[in-house]
Amino acid sequence: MDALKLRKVGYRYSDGTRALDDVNITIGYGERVSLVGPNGAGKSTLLHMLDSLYLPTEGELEVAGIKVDKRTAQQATMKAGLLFQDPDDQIFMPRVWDDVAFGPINMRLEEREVRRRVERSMALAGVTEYAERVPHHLSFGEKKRIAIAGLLAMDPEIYLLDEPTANLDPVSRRALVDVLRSLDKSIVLATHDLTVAFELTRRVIVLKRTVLYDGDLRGLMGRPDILAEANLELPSIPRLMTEWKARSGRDFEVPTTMEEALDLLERETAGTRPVR
Amino acid sequence: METIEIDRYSRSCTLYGFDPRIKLASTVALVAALSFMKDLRALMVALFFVLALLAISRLPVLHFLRVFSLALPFIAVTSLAMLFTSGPQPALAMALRVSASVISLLLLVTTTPFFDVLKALRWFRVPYVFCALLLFTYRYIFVILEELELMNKARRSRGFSLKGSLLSKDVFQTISFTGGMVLVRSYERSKRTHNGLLSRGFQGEIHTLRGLSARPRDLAYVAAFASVITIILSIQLGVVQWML
Repeated sequence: MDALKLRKVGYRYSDGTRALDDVNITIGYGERVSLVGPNGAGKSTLLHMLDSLYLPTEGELEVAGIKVDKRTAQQATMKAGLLFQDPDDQIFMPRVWDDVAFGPINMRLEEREVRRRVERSMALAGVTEYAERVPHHLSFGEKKRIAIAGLLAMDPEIYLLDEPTANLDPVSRRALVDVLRSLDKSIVLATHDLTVAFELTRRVIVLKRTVLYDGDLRGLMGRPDILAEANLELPSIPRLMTEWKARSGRDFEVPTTMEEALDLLERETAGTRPVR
Repeated sequence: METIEIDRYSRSCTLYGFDPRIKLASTVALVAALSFMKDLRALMVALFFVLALLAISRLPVLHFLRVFSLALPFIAVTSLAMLFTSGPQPALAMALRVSASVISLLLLVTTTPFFDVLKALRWFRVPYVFCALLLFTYRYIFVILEELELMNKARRSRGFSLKGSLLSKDVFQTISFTGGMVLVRSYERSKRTHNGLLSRGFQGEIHTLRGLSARPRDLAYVAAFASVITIILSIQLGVVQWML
């Protein structure tokens, strides 16, 4: 059984704007996928649809084996957890602790289990110290971590993350990536930040109303046509290493992350004298 | 943007542990009784009582004054209006009545976590829509104010100044557009927030873990309010004077 399955899915807003067209995607359990594309490509719409907040106007959608329609949308929503771009859109309660507990309480869990989940997820997201704070006094990065804690507390089978690292400072971004990396659930990550995509996922879906590319992230590096059409730019490391590969005439697989690049440099420069 | 967090000290003050339903009912009863009061002595007793309660609560004075200062213009306007229409004594009575009522209501909301006040309101069968509206207003008013401030800054950075007359066409148009934009953005946010609620399993009612439970010490709270209400009503109705 697949975690998410979309067959010929389309979505048209009530004003007639077509946001998605003939989208066919299958994502397995435990699989991590990046969803990239230019502004207005339909990434957020697709994530809302995968959380069963929008129902497809065409085609079929299955979330954790549930065929999504008006009748089953509520049930399917609980299988997936959506992290919104703006954390203020999903932090409703006047106290952080109550907000993190909001989802588990709605899941009708027992009080002990709710408390256990809230404490665990707050610790994981590094927001335990904010438990008694009011959300409107927190910074954007802190609110984002609280929204993540709220999501972790629901323990969904599928995580849908809409630009999770946007507007975060480098330290907050790193902390968030570490939390996401520790999850062993299905993740769909909508982002413009290909660095994060390379760090967290191996598969990428390039969306521009319809699917332009669905495959290995490394494969995307060899598709300048797709990158150009989707207004994408490779991150510094693969760009630098591609350039070095071309200039040096060496033959190696272009690294995508800092760790891979360091390993390669150590291998390729072994035996050469350091420049003083 | 600096904002007043009204229930900031609610968990550290001495009146925290009382049942919010008892606090709400007692406060509403006192305010209702105060609305009939004209006798200055009765009003002085009520004011003394709420000030004593404020002292017992150990709320930081500056915090309370900041919250109270929001109500001062209303107290001033109503009292001044009374002064010019009915004379000094009714004006003083109005000032005392409104001050005692406002302080007792502020005592309720500053010594009780906001969500507990809402739970008490729900227990008294106040419609859910009204409580949800209060909750979201409390949560999002600061977000919307921040957006408004950002728009004001953006206006200023592009050369707009409020120096001209408010009736000047350009100034009026710009302010109207800003107001319109705030409404549009609030509407857009409300749609996104609704999706956020649905995404986290919301099915029409907000639940919390902490329930409401009355304890024997709540009787002391009721008894204190009941005594004061009885005393001020007795003074107002002349019972005390008759007994003396």
